[in-house]
Amino acid sequence: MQNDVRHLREVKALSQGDLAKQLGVSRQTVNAIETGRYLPSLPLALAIGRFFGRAIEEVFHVDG
Amino acid sequence: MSTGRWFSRDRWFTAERGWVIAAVKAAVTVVVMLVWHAFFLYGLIVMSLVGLRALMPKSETVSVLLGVPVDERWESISTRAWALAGQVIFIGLLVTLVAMQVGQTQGWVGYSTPYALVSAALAVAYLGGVVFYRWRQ
Repeated sequence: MQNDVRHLREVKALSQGDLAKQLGVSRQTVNAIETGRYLPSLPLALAIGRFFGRAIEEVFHVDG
Repeated sequence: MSTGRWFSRDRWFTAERGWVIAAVKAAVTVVVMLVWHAFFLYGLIVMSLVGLRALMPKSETVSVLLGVPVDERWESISTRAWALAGQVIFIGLLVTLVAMQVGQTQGWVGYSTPYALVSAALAVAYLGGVVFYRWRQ
């Protein structure tokens, strides 16, 4: 799985810490999601999509 | 996401509740008439937990060690670490059980029953967990 979380966060000029606070998770978790080391649960993925005003499949997509 | 629950069935056995173990250990020590040892042990365990609690706001790793993962990723890390620890304990128990059984048959010092019982308890707990979570999810 790949995701556009880093890009979307940078467009909003947010730090990882800012996004983490908004989502109720740790900064390290945001970093792990951005780098693809951690695949978020469905509720968290939905919260990320909702935060950026995107559908979940616009933020997370399969490789390639 | 954020998981600030004080109690969870999934992680009832955590360092933060170590004071219960400390109290039991202290009570046992009092029963065998080692009152000062009991106070010392209880104090040592409780103080270490108080120290960890003080560090908790500064470290997510300490939060996990105290049984309060800050979010779902840390909860997953904790679950996987417990699974790893469980496997290591189980393998250790089986090795010890075999060694004790060999020891008994060869006339060395060894008593295998407690290890057999604990191994059986672990296996039953695992089977029970599979059946319970299969029913629940």
